[in-house]
Amino acid sequence: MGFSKILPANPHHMAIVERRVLLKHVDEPGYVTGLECYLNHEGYEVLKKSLLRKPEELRQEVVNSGVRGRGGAGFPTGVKWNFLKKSDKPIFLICNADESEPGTFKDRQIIHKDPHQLIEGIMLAAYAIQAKQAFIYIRGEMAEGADLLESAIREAKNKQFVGQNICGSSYSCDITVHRGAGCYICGEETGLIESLEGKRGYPRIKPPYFPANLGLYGCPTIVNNVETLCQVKHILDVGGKEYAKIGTPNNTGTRIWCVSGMVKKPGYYEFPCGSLTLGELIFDVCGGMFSGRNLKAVIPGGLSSKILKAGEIFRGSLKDGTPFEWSLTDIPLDYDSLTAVGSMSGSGGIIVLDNSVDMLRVIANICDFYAHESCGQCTPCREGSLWLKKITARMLNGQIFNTDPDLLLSIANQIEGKTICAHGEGIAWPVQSLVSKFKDEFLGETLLIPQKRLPQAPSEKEILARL
Amino acid sequence: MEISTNTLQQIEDAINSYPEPKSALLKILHLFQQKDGYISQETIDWISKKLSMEPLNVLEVITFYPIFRTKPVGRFLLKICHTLSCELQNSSEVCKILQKELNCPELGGTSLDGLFTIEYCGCLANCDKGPNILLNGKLCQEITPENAKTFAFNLKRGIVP
Repeated sequence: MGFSKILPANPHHMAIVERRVLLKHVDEPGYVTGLECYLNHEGYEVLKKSLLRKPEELRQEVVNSGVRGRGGAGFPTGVKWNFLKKSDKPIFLICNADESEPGTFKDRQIIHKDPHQLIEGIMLAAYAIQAKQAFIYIRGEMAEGADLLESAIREAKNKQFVGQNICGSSYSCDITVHRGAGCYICGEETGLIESLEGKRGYPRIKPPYFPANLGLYGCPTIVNNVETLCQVKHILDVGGKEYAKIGTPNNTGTRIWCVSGMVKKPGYYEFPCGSLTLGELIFDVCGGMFSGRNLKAVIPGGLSSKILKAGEIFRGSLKDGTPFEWSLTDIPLDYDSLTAVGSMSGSGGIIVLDNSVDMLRVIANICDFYAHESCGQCTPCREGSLWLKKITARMLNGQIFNTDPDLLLSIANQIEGKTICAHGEGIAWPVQSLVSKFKDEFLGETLLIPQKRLPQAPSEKEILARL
Repeated sequence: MEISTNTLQQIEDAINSYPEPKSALLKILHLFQQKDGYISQETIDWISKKLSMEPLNVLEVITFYPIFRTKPVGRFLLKICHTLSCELQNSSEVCKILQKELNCPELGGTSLDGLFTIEYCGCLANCDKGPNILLNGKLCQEITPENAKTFAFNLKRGIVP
């Protein structure tokens, strides 16, 4: 294997410096979560100046910024907002703080360390779309975060940054914190809306249930991620066109990359989109691999994204037609590049795997998680994920048939594209990529252990005979 | 069923914070579970009357969400993250050690002294500092196979990190 050939993508070791916009004050000595501290750092100034402008102007700024959703799908936020049509029904804004994509921990930093930044972002977005009420849907496990947000909202209400006649204007909007109760599926926007209505978090079928049209209580609703709403504050601070200069075209602004797994310095790092490569992030920013270990693979955008293998060469052309040829460490960190290599930037949760990791454990762990989290509405996902879990658990026990990789692939292919929500893809993609890229390892390892030698799978005849 | 005026007020506030009362269901369930440790049949009946719902519709919500439970648990509830980033730091080994040290042979079951319940849970969104454990709602990070015994030892003496 060519592991030793992988060199840091920054051979001259130029210093790579973070550009903290959202995380500017996070972890700053002396910076606390109280309102007073936030006001001392120009807090709510953007809200004050933006309330003097027309909502449609603010929406246009967000369109001009080109900012894309930070929750996973990467849909342009301004376009999403403009899906709202004028009607007699009230409009609702929901902040998706149900951070539950394994490998992602960016929203937690903002909620725990700079909650007023999020509240300001929410109020700005609420005013821009003229929402009647805003909600923060926070994970049930984050009770500490929910308490923090609630006390921050109380503080902001006392100073008229939230609630009636915000900053003395004629606009009023309240924020309600809604705690989930441990379901991964409630991070899906329509599942989240069902949960907010006090029901089981079953995702809704689209069409007709596009939230911008038929959302919460059948009213037009916008659901945005925590990081996206914080970006809105910075867009309205500097102006959309100015903001669009950060990053690369179609991949504007900064992003928070959450690195976990087998690196020396895991953590959260903010960089302009496309300003560094995966290799630079892993080797220069995160300190590289533990001594004596090699990079084996990377899951680049949360557990549901397709795995990328070290040693692979990615060829193709970008959206604008530019051809590329990258190794794993050459891939620029932005939306389009990660999509071009067949994966996605997703929620920004990067999980790094080294050569000590048994890929069979990885796939079994992933299948176990998705089987548990399937809501059970769609048969392919409910049954398929369960079988993937059972088969990979059996394989982990040493009982591996040489037909297993094909069986896993066949199940994954039967789930993909056949479900109401993207949970189906969430399980199919990692399985498809893991099986096709690490098939040899799944089969090869067993050959080394005599008692685990590959048996032939029983034929249909034999199975029938056993019954 | 006796409910303190303080709790009743919290329930009213919860209902008033939404345009439709039924939305307050999760909030009310959290309130009762925090107070009683679990959701009893009596509570289900009371909530269903309060929100003008069928008791079955309350129960179907409870059974959908892993956080809600209809049976009591130990005084200390440990939820161990089992997803990939924590598992790479060996969270299942941590789980085994804690199960042994705290006398919880069965996942989801409670130790005989009624003190501890251990179960697995999904990602706790603190993946850079795994393995993570949620102890009665409080996040405890970097509980590794090396320090898990000390963590259990302290916990048995009521010392929480």
